[in-house]
Amino acid sequence: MNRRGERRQRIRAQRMYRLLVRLYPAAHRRAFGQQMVQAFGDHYSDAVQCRGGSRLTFWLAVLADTATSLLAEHASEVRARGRVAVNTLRRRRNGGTGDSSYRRAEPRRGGATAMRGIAVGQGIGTSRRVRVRRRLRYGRHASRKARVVIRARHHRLVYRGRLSALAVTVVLAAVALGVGSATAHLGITALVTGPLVAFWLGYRVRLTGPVPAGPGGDGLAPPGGAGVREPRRPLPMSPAGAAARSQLDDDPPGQAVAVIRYR
Amino acid sequence: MGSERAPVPLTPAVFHILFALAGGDKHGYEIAKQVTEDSQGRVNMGTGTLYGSIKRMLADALIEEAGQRPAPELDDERRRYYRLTEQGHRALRAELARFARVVTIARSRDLLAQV
Repeated sequence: MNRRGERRQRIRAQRMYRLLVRLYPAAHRRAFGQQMVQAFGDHYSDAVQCRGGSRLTFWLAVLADTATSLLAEHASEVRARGRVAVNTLRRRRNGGTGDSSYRRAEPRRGGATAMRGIAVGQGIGTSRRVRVRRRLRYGRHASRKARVVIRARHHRLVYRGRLSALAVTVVLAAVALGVGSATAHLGITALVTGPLVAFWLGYRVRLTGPVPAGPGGDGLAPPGGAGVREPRRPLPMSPAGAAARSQLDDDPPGQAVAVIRYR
Repeated sequence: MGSERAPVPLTPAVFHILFALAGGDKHGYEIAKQVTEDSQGRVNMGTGTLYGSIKRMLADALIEEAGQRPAPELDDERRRYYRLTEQGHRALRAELARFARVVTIARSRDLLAQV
């Protein structure tokens, strides 16, 4: 293959790897994403183009490495978020006891990062009060944005989770199946991977009915059905309305005296 | 900021990266190549594992970004070079001393002859 073709092939491989890099936690991606793609490009041209290694073997090794490091990075991210949440709780508790020196010593940016960390974990763009209310009403994962997968007339199949988590699961399943097929153990791999993926989907995917109107739903309808509608009231100027209207009792006494004088 | 004392024993990936950087400043892929060379091809560090380890080592202040780098015409400007910190040197020395002690004990028990 000529030089230009090799370069194009390398760029294509880097583009594919960039998609894999998108699965890493955002902070890791921001700090090392570009470097990772560049190092991958070097590795690709060294292993495949210079040494003439098998592309399949190379990609299998890359996928296995990505899968393990993805797990490690997401686990460390979750641990870091847990620490942030615990520190925030402690800080709030200390704030109640009036430990102002501790509060002053904390950098402001740290607090903002902590809150952002919690926000990322619980759904961006939603106020804390709303999240807590939804969580109390619908359960632990209700504060996350639900994505409708299939919409039927009366039911919706909803995915309540992160897209990155879905992508990680898909990649892990693909890696497991790829490794299984490469090592001629596809049956066993499918037996292990299938139930795991099914369990995960069962945990995150829900079949829901129609949702009542309003931000939090209006709750159950009152018995009787017709009672939902407000009863018709008489118009103010109709005879029935005049009869229904209270006049003298509600008018101020001074006004009645003024009317009599002008006559 | 990193802890005052580096954790000993180090993980294999961290040890290999420290060992590779002991020879001088290197960028990511150079580190991976050096690791493969040092381990005689037994350890192939993938990009994900490499940068995960680099992240943790930066947080533990075992390595840092090198200020000096090759001339721009000789190298890509976007590359970042890493070097050992004083704490990284200490951690590597402590780990090598630990290995040396193990080897001494193995020799005294005549275990190396069986390998």
